[in-house]
Amino acid sequence: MVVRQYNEELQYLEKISPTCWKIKKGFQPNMNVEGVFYVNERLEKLMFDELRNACRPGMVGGFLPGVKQIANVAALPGIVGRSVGLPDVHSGYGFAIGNMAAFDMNDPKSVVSPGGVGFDINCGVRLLRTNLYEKDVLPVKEQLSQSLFDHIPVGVGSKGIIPMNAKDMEEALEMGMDWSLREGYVWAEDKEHCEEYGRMLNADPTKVSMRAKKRGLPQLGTLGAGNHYAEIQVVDEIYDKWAASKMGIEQTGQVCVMIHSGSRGFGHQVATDALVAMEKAMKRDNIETNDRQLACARINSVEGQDYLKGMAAAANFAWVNRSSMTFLTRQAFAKQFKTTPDDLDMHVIYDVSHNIAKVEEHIVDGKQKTLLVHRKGSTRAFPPHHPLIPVDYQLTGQPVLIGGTMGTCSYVLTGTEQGMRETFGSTCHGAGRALSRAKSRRNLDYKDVLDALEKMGISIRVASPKLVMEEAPESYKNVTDVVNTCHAAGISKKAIKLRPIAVIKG
Amino acid sequence: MFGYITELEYVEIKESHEIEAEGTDMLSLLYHFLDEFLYLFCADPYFIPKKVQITEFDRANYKIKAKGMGETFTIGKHPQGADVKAITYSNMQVHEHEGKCEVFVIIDI
Repeated sequence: MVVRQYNEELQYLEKISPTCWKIKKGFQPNMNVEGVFYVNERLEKLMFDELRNACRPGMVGGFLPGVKQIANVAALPGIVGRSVGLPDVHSGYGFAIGNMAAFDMNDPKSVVSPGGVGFDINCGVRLLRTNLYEKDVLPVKEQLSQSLFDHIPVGVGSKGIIPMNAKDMEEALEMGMDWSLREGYVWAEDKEHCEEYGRMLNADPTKVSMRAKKRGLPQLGTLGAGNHYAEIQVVDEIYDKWAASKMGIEQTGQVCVMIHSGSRGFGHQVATDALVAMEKAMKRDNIETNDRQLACARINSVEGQDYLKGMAAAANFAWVNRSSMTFLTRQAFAKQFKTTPDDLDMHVIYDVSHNIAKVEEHIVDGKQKTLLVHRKGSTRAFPPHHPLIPVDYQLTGQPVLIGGTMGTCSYVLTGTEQGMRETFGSTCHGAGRALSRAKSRRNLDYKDVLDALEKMGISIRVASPKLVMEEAPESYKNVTDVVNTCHAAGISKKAIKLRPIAVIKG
Repeated sequence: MFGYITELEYVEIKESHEIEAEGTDMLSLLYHFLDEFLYLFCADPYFIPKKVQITEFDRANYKIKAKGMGETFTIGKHPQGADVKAITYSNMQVHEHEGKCEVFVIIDI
């Protein structure tokens, strides 16, 4: 990392619009393109504090600031356009979290980087609607939360309850949600409302190590820990009545369920294996990066292709995982209300992937190009009429699901043309951390956090209560600031606001 | 790392498992050393070490052997803490002074 005084660092940053800053070349070595990040005034302060902190003399250990990471990504071979930081950007490993970057598939030097996808491959958010209203759920809220907690395995070391053997696992990795459909866990129309229809066709389970499969098998159908959760939410505000009605949301008070989870240990191992393999490939192909965690390989190399096939298998794992939890959620609701999931109209509104790399067509400098788009902590947000979005959303634009933090609201946005042009059809993914986990632990007490949730009328069931301060709203950026910045910058548009009434987490 | 996954005072020493790791430099050796132990926890035998003893350490060829002593992770007995996804190289540092060594590792949770 280039070490300069904070004031010197600022010379490389320039505000180009009320919600957008440019990172000039030279901020980090070998930048091929410029960087850019979207912030409002409050988020801007957090970004610059992070940078100032890292410039303190004698700073060792700890995280690289997000701005530096965006610039490191801009130095990767084959990157086109700009390295983009979304409003929830914060320090990650290699790529910042809330960072997207696109690489030209037709440039032989272009790379794929597992760090640009993250360890939790195809971590994402799914939103189910119901035809229930808040008044129907409030009297049985505690029972329903407990039932969901009993149905969905959560927390570190928990094991899935969907019966699976090694052969089922191979099929699930290859087929994604088609496997869930064949086994009767999901409805045919659920697939329609997922990115890629819940199945990446280039998945190849033979490119995945035994270790990954061994880690994955017991964990299929588990929520996980950390920031993953299942929430019962109610519609709090509708900004775009027409778009909301296309999603089956009629009025405020309607009850939805949000599931935030990923590919569990399977994806983590696929990423770990790829990073190790790519380190060797980098030496062979003389690829240099500014950060060891940014290990990458040429897209057309054996390592690059193997990673993309393994990543696709992990993406399928994640869809099957969220589908299994969709099944368990539907069961819990049906039992509580003594009816069927069909009669409760528990359709999937949409399912987004916010840690993934995909091959997409975009216009760069007036020309159509095939790009490998990495989104790490960033959600695809395609505009109306895009061929890859479901027919139900052709006129509204793709629904974008933004999960808030425990106890704060979540949002549904829609994709825009401007986002397509400026950020390769990408937007934010959540609140984004403001305090490190260690700082949250020092500054907050878990009992206060639980009490505060109770006062807000939110039921909580959590496997590790002593860690809730790490996920407390105070530890995160304000999701409303993040979403408003995306809306103001025009890279996506607000449709619905949801507020939680019950949280289930690891 | 394991103190973060659970609370170590609840872990008893009942069994031991050995790991071997190799690297091409000190950082990659540290990475693989930690990764081997993480894997023992993430799949069968779901092993939580309470104590780790380094049995062989070949600095010249970056090879290490170690023995972990602890037990199988059991929900109900061991409190559930953070889910460690992976070891990372992000800003990894090893500082050796006389008789003392300081390492910085960021793990993804």
